[in-house]
Amino acid sequence: MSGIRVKCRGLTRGVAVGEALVSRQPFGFWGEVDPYTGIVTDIHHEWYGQCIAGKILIFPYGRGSTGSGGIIVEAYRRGKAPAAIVNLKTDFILLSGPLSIEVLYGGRLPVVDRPERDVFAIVKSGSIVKVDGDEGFIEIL
Amino acid sequence: MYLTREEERILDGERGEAARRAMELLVKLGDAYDAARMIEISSCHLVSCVYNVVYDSGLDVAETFLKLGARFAIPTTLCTASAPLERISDFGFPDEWVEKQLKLCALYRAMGGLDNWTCIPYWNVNAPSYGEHIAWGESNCVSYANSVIGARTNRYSSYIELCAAITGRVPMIELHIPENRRGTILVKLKGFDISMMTAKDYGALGYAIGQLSAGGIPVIDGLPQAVSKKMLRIMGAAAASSGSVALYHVIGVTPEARSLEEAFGWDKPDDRVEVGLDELKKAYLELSTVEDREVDLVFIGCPHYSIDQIGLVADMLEGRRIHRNVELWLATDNITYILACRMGYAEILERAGVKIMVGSCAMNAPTYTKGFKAIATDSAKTAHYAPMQAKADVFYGSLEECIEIAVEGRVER
Repeated sequence: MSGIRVKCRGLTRGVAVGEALVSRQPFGFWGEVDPYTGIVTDIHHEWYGQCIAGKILIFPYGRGSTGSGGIIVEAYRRGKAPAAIVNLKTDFILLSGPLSIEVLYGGRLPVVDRPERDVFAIVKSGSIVKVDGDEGFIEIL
Repeated sequence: MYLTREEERILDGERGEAARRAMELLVKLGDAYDAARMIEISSCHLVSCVYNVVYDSGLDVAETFLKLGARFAIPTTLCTASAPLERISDFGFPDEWVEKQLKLCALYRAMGGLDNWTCIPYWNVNAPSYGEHIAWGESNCVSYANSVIGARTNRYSSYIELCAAITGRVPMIELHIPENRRGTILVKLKGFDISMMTAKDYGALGYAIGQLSAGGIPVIDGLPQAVSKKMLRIMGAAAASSGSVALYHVIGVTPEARSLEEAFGWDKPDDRVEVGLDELKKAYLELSTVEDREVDLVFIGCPHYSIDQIGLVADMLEGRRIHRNVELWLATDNITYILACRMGYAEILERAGVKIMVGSCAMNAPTYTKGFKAIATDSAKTAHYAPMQAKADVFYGSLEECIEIAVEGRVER
């Protein structure tokens, strides 16, 4: 599947390359991931026990507490944030973290959503993926 | 996005650097979601002031904003803190954690935040009216304000709500727009006797509805017209935890659903689901991970207990004593605690051995440092979060069951 480029909507700026972590389950950050280690602590989630630091997270949409934005910023501050996030539809809670990183921290955590193809069918966990928030696409390398 | 002259002035820094930076973030958010313009809001409810939401980066952000001259432009309430604000030493939480929360408290008071610390601001000090635009965080607050009151807010999180409080504005997006508030999923209740539903059942029902309608706006058909706001509060908090439900309608009950047609905006539902006894049973199974015999902490007050609920617990515990093998924590806000003291409830509870968590709760405080094995709770929201937040097993019971567990001390130590 390498070389495939899927157009998306870019929500925050920046370009990142990393290993994909893919789930069809929604994912919230607050109460579901430890911002000190990047380890997923939610026993209900299939990523339980995995580390999200530096990964390209691909999941349909966020869920749960409105605390998620703060957890993303804290994980970023500690170097445990994902490299980029790809959703079918990104909600505010989730976007508020990367957006705060961009405006309040001067950092980059690209987020894209509305992919024009079924990303779950073409990207598997472990694939190396490039996410471009400036141009609005993902590419499987 | 269209900006008024005043908004452009803010963005140009004429109202100070704090307001400029806050406006920049809101404009970027608005651009990302194709907002036509900003709207003025009448109140904020912040989660950025809660230590276990924002951790150390939250202290950086609050200190920076305060140094830049941030002051809240509109009435702003502060959500449940990560450490109790009274009788702090009774709980034995780590000093460093408590100090960081207290520092956040001081920073947000200095910006003009209301010193109540609660997840039910809508119950006393920050009660919006139907149709008002507000910018609130905390999932149960958002759910209640949108659904039960008919105020308009998105699920704001750190630091969007903070920027909104500083500027008094948010971009006009999603649930601020009437067309986006129509229901998407019809949830038909079937096969159980609604009149026999307890608070515990409403929690499990909300949990099931949240799971079945994640990402959508459920329209619930089959609740009695007389269903209390307290039950809706319990149901909504559970649905927000399991399915991030920011808005739901109950036909014949909530203000935007006087009829099925109105609830769906005279359009067809995208989806239909039925919730019956099987779905309730499944929710019950998922909400408990252990038997009541394992419980060494009972936690009630999620969302925060209102004064009537505290009075009920005082009645149940008058002249009784919490067993030495178990602790019972009850969470409420500063103002309700003062009322509970004046009405004599606090004295009854404290004599029985209850620890009242003022302005805090067991899920936001570092309960995991206490090494409890299992937590009994009457809250589906706490039951959902306890394994992750408190690193403990959980038993989901009614208030009556929770009190009996605390008094009998069934656990062996």
